[in-house]
Amino acid sequence: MMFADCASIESDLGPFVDGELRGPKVLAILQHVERCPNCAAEVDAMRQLGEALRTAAPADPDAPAWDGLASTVISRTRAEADESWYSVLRRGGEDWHWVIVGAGSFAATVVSTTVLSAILAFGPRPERGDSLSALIRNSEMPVDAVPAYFDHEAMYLMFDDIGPMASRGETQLARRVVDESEESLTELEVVDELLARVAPKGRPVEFERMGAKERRRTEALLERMNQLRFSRLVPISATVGTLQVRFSASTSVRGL
Amino acid sequence: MAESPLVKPFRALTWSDTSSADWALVQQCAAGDEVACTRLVTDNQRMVYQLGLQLLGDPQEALDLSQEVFLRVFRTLHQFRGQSTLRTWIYRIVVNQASNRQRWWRRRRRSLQVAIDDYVTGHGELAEWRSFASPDRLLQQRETAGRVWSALDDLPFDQRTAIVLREIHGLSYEEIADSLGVAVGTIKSRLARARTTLRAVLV
Repeated sequence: MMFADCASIESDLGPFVDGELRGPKVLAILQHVERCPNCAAEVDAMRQLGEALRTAAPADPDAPAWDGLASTVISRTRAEADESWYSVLRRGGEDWHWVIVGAGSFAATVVSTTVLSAILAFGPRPERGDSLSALIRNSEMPVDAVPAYFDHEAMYLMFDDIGPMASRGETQLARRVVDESEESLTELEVVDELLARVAPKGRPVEFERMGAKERRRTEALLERMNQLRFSRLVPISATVGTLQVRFSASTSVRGL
Repeated sequence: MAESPLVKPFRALTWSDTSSADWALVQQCAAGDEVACTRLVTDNQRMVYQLGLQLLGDPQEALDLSQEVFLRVFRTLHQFRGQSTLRTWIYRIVVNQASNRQRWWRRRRRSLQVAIDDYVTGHGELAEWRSFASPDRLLQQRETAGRVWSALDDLPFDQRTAIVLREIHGLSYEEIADSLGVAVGTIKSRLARARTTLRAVLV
């Protein structure tokens, strides 16, 4: 049999001292320990430690502390057999308190999640145009929308054929508020003013919340922008009315 | 080496040695036989009290623990299926109860330092105290015992339990693993760490 090295038997020295090894391993360690003074010292140290622990173990007291233990336990057992259901449940709860706490936490989580989901799904939608949910909703661009980017700001436009413009009184009015001087505005200037109206200080404002005059002015600017942007690019023969303008701008939400 | 390495300090009883007697005792206790219950307590009370004392280091705590352990034994006796020995099953209850009490105890910032005189007051006299008359020897034993139990108190509870069950109660690795509900390999590593720590403190 080969002479085992120290590293290979190091972890087996404890089980060897404890008599937990069998067969060839015992022989290998015996042979090693006979030749290796370091491992022999290790084995002796473990035995001395065990001896010290056993020596330090307290002796049985003269008057054993457990005298009367059996009668006390039997009495308590007998008393428990006669106790009320409330006491039984209460004692059971002591043993299962962590399980109860865990189950309660889980139930609370499920209930609160369900309630929150129901509120989000069926609850009233926020009416403020500058609320966080409105911002999120406004940022969803419909499939038929036309994206537009001006001066690093993004917006999208929606067009629809709504019939003769004569039926759109407000649009007719809007045409009138574009005076001659605005005919000379450049596209960038129109966009700047439009941005200042629909998203003052970075917060989008819905058309419905604008005053009548403000809204007409905004629609006029939008129409002017349409003229500048799209008349050159898309020749449209049909009458086109703007139904909706959504604006997406970089908006910072301050921390709480 | 003067001593054979194959000889254990203590030999633990195995289930095969006592299974039928223990099983009969369990059946009688479960049927409400108070004589059998008394016998179950008297057969195991010393082991339970001593282990409680060694794990908690306080005689009153150990006595309270003993009562709780036997009450729990009788409450849960119907769950005992004989998959381990009765003794190992009781050991497991002792360790679990001691672990609960030990956490409670430590939360209240009990001092873990055991003075020599406190040691004798708390633990009683040493096993060999009355056997040797030499005062020097007795004093040395007391000092050593104080250091040993102070070092034991400083060990993590899992390691302390493993080393006490192995070295003082003489349980095999398998019995210790069964009592603590862990793998034998875990016991092996806990014992190795406990021995390393204790030797570093005591040498």
